[in-house]
Amino acid sequence: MPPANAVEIRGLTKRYRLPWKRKVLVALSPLDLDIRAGEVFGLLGPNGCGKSTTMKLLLGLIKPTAGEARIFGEKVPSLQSRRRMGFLPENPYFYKFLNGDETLRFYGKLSGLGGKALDKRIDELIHLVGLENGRDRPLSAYSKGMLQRIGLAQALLHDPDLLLLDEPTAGVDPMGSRDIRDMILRLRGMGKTVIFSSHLLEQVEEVADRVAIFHLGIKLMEGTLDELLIDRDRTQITAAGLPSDAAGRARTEEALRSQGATSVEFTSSRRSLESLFMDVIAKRKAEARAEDARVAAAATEANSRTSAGDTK
Amino acid sequence: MMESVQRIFALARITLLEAMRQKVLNILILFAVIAVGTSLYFSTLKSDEQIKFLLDFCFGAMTVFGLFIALISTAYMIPNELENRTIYTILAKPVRRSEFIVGKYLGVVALLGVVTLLMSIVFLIVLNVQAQINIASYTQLVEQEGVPELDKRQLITTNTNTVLAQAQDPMILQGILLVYARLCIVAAMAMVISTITTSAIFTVCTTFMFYVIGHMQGYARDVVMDPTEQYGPIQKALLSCIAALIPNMRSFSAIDEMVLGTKVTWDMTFGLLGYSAFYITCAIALASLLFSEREL
Amino acid sequence: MRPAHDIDVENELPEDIAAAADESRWISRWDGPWHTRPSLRILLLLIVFCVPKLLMETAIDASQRAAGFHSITHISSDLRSRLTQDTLISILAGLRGVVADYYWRDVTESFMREDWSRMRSSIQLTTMLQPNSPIFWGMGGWHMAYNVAIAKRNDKREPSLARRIAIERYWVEEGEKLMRNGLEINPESVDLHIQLAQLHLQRLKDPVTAAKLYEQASLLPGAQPFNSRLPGFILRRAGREQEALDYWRRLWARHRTHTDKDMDWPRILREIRALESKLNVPIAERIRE
Ligand SMILES: Nc1ncnc2c1ncn2[C@@H]1O[C@H](COP(=O)(O)OP(=O)(O)O)[C@@H](O)[C@H]1O
Ligand SMILES: [Mg+2]
Repeated sequence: MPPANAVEIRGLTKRYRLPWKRKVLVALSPLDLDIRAGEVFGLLGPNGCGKSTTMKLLLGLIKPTAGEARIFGEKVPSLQSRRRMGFLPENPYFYKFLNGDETLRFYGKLSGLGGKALDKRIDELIHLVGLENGRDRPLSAYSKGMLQRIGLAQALLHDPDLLLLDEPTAGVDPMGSRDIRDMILRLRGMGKTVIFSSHLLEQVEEVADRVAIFHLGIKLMEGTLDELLIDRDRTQITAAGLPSDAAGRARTEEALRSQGATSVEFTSSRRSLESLFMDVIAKRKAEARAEDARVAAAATEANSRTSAGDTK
Repeated sequence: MMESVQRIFALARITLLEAMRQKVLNILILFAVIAVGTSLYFSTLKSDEQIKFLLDFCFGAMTVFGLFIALISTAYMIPNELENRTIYTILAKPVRRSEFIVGKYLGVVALLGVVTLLMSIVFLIVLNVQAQINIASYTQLVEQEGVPELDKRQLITTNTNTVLAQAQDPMILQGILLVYARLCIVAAMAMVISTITTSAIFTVCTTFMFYVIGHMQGYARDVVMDPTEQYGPIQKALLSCIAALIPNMRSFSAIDEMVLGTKVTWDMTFGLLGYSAFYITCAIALASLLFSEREL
Repeated sequence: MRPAHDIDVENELPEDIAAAADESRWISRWDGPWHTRPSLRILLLLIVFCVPKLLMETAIDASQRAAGFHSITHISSDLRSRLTQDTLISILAGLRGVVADYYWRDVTESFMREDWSRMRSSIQLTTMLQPNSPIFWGMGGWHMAYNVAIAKRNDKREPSLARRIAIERYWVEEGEKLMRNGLEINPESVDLHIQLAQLHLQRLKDPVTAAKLYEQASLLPGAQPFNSRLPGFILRRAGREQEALDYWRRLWARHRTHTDKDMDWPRILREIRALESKLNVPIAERIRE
């Protein structure tokens, strides 16, 4: 029977000796954390709070000062545990002299894939992350978003059960960022466990099942979003078509008070900037498409007219 | 096991590919130009001396260019991987640190192989063209001098034979192999040093210093192995370190001996190649251990 | 719709927690492990590795010494100059041939310009870089003992003849010293022996040493047969008849047959007979054909 927890961290600590300061920096205070299999877990906190440190410890890129961690019951660091992990580092860079296809082939070989299986897997992943246009281009010509995509594809190559994504949306435009969020949700749908870190909170809400908030190397709190965010005493009602004049509001308030509400507040509903942005872009894209279609139609018409003229 | 080999091979291949795509081989064009230029420069010397100097120079130039490539490509390898952060994605895969070191080193070895091979081809072409020129000019000289017909034949054949024997001496192959082995040793030393430092410049300088000291390692070894030598404890400790860690580069003077005309047997060449292989294996094992310790 | 909790953690963190965390982040005591076990493994590897390494190196040195490698057999007694030379050669990696050739050209050029001190230092650099090429030792010594010495002898800027002669002598001796050093490193060189012999004969007026050097040259592989007659003639002409006869006897004894055309045995025999009668050697002790 597989262990219920994907990740078990017990007292994991990382300190750095800074000899010239004759001081010790606590990058991560003793940390206990369990992450269940199949959940999307967010590590939140400002820069320098120890998010990357935690991930690097799990991967064995750095050695813990104390404590230990297990991945699916496998002690880290170990080859076995890394077989089940995929990692997308913060601001990933790859070999610039390779193209997208060669990059994935290289990482595939490192992950123990080869032959037909690797070819098939690369096709799948290129399609999954939407990098068809980057296959034959060298990575030196990639945009930030494309690098993030190839990074994600690379992390997924050996079909790991646990994904570690370090700041996956940092520096990516909102469209790309949305794509990455969709990808995380899709991965959850495939039964993967995902740990991602971010210092931008709004994105976390939409995808994370549970989050932990870190500050200066210390885990401050941990829990599901509902646990952390829902204020059980207050209910927000979003309604369309209510009267917005004073008399109308008074009537509504009365109705609510009759249901036991002790205080009632009125605000116009406000959408997030992001959703506005996405709408505007979508609208503009639709317009552009319509415009293209119109221009194309006009061109064909003009063409047919001139060709008709030529034949005369 | 097979997977391990596959990973090492993938790493070696990417290292070679990187060097090739970053136009390291352009340096070989420089080598070719210099080799041709030098053969003209030496044309003031006697004809057999000329071939000898050309041999000496070509082995020397191969060493210099090879050293340059070996030092730069090895010393900058780990720092570049760290700076570009490619190392994080590689070591996050099921790859051992030792596999990373071995793969990367084999990539450098392959690169040095390609470089040595190409330089050898240029070298042999220049050498043989020079030999033909020498033979032609000697023949012309003999024709003009009005030497009796019978002697003329004799002189020309003797000259042709000596010049060709020098230019097509099978010992040249041994020399090339030894030049290659020497470069691989230097790359292995650089590999060890680069696992414990962060500065590529430091690695280059230290490795080169070790290379120089390697030519004098024999004296340190004599002192350490000879109990009658009187030295202070600090000197003795220092000399022991040199004797134990630094390879004996002087033994590669076998290359110079070939140029001087001393007979170097294949047995000796294989002995030196075996020694190089042993030293490299140990150095890479050491580099792997040191690199496993390292925080990234 | 956004909930009201969308906050920036950095700004909204409660003051006391932030302060506590900040203090706890910097500590002055390191209670992690000081060393890890693999350091022991490294030490072990080094020890296991250096023994076969040293053994292999000793074996390689022995085989190279047996093969007569110059770099091993001709270790000069002066370790300091030897180390300087080794450093230079290894730093030049392989370009020493070119550098040596460059300095040799400089020797010729400074000879033309009569810049003697520069010429001497260029000669020294050339021989340092190519110690195993006798040609540089020989030519360098010849430049000093003949060209420089004679130029100094005729240099009227020095009015005193006695001093001019002393300076000439100095340069001849410098040339001789250089060739001697060259011989130490290249004891097999016939040419260098002959050049030094000529120097002794012509410049130092020392026929005995010259004869000895010719004799040494004649014993080396690759020597011309007439070299082996020269010591006898030189010694007789210098009036050292007994020594000349001793030499001829040695030469005679060294060869089993005395019919070799190149050696011109009849001529040698004539010499021997002339000396024997002049020195009144008893018949019984004379050489038998
Ligand atoms: N190699 C190192 N040496 C010293 N301090 C380090 C090292 N790596 C990280 N740190 C420190 O550890 C702390 C945590 O870093 P990190 O985990 O990268 O933060 P983040 O949450 O932004 O990813 C930071 O204060 C950083 O300065
Ligand atoms: Mg980070």
